[in-house]
Amino acid sequence: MNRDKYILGIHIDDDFLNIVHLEQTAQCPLVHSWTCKSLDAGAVKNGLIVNTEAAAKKIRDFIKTNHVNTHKAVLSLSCSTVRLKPSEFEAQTDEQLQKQVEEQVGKYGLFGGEKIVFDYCAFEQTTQSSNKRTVLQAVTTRQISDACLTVAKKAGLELVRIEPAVLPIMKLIFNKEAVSSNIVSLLLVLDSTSANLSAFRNGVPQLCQNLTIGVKDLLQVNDGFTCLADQMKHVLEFARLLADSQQIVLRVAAACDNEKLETITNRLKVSLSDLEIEKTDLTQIIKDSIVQGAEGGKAPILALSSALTHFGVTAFTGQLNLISRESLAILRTRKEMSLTAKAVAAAILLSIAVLFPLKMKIKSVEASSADVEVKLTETALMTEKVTELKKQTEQFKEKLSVYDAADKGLTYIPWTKVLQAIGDAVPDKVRIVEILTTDKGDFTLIGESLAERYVYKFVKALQDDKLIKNAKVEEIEYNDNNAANIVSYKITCSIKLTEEDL
Amino acid sequence: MILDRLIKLDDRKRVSAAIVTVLVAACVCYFAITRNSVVNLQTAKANYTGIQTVYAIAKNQQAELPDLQKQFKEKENQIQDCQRQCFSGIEAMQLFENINTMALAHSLKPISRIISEPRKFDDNEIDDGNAPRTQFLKTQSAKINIAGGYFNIIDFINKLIDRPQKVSITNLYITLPAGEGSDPKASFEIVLVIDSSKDVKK
Repeated sequence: MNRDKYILGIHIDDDFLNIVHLEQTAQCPLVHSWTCKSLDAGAVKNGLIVNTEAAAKKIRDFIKTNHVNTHKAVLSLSCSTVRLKPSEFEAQTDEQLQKQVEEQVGKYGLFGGEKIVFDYCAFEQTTQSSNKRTVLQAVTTRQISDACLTVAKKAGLELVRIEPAVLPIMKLIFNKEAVSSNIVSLLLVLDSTSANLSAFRNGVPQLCQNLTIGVKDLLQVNDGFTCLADQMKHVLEFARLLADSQQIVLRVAAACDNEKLETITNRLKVSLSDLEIEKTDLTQIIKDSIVQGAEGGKAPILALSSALTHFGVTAFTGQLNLISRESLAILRTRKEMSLTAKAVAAAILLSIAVLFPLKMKIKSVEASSADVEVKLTETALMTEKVTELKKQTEQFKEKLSVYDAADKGLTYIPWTKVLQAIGDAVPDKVRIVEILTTDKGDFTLIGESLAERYVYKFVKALQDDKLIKNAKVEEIEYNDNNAANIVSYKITCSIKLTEEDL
Repeated sequence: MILDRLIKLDDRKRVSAAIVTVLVAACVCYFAITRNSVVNLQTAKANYTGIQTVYAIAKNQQAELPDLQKQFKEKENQIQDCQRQCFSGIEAMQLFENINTMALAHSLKPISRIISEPRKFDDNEIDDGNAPRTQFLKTQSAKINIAGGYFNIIDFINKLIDRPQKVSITNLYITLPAGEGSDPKASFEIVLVIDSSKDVKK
């Protein structure tokens, strides 16, 4: 069973593009919307989509108009584009079977040497004793398959499967019949310009043949039915051989409305009177599946069948898929290369994008630097002046230290003031004989007096002077050898220096 | 051709190839397009920071300018004061030559006057051996012997020191010779500081 809840079923033939948007609900399949668009002449030629853009545009329009919420699609090809060949193989493993099918397909030489795409599906055996498996092989050209991929890509779809248009009808009609009795039947599937006629026994295909007559020819050309009967001749003979004397049922499904299908079946009943003709419309193929919504009963049968069988058919092993694996790989690789290229381009663009703000930033920083440099130039003179001032100040300091040292090296004692003070202090009856000084500001007075008390008076006067300190009598000596009573004295003093004196 | 090769690769290798391609492209883009600008920006920023630092220093120095000018002026004034307190060589010579005249003017009798040669100022106590900075200062002294009245001696010495320049009086010694009517004798040394830069100015 397929897990997708929504699917687009698409069928393209030479004249029409049929799309069905189907949802698998819990109860039954639900047709959300469908369309049947005519294609421009030449857009599809013999089943090959030539104008992929036109087809993709119609699909895009459908998706947009009907608010389709899935990108997954199955596509069924027109009858003429796929060659179907039923074959019997010994019962074996899937791998062995695949190998044998590949070998057999390789021998066909179909499509005039063109590159081909093929796939197969194996049918369940109705008889338990049989050790044979019936395999339906489908082959188409790579060109047709790739065109479908291109359309899907342009339409923004993820193509799940490409299958022959007849296959889903087969699956739906013969699904239940496969287990029934030994009957022979025919299935005629018509699209607008081609058809496929297949012979079945017990619901297993025995012979398939493509016909070059479609609905359009049957309804518009006078001898269309004659031609159809003529092309059906070989398959009919084969079916009659298989059926022996049994009644053969011919089921007819066509990519057209019920009215046209009725016309076709009626005409076939006339021309093929020995067969039992049954029209196969939607009411029959979905007899067990109730399709609802959006006039589901009128939806294009081939597109709807594809969509319906996508949700699950158990009668076959494998899903016949005509998408070229190589093309898928190329598409995927191209997509990855495109992504990588975009990443590289993004890296380049990012670098360039980063470059602009970087350049701007550089300019901004350089401009700021230039501004500061201008200011710096303006301040250069000032700086020079400051430097010069500092230098000169330092020189001055040095010079001042020299002056200071010179000043300290010499003593400036105010001797005149001291001498004046001594002169003023000396009383009568006292004579100074010597004044001895030192550079430390000490001085000694040596002299004579008529009496000792005059000496002390002198000392007292000296002591009272603000310039002199520590005045004291150092020696007193009486001289007896003189008639007068002479006293020799020695007074020591220090100078009381003040800032003002200095 | 590349497509054919890539198709043959498995998913892991394709993803690796894509990642490597993008990384290589990113590296090439960075080194070929962006890196140069990044380096330029870094250089410009470093340059800007350098200039800013220099400018900040300059601004700080400018801020110091008023203080410096004030300091300079103060020092200049101090220097001028100091210079005023020093003699020029000529002034010193004139003073020494006029000593006897000055003594006579103060009714003193000059006995002797011995002028010594100017000698370089000795500031070993503060100098660190950088001799040339003190060469502009010299000292010159004279030993003076005079005789006369005590107060005349005081006036004479006062006359000697009463001037803008500083005059140091050392080794002062006054004696009154024995005998009636004899005048005191004074001996002392005057020391002048000579600023040779004053002579240069003149």
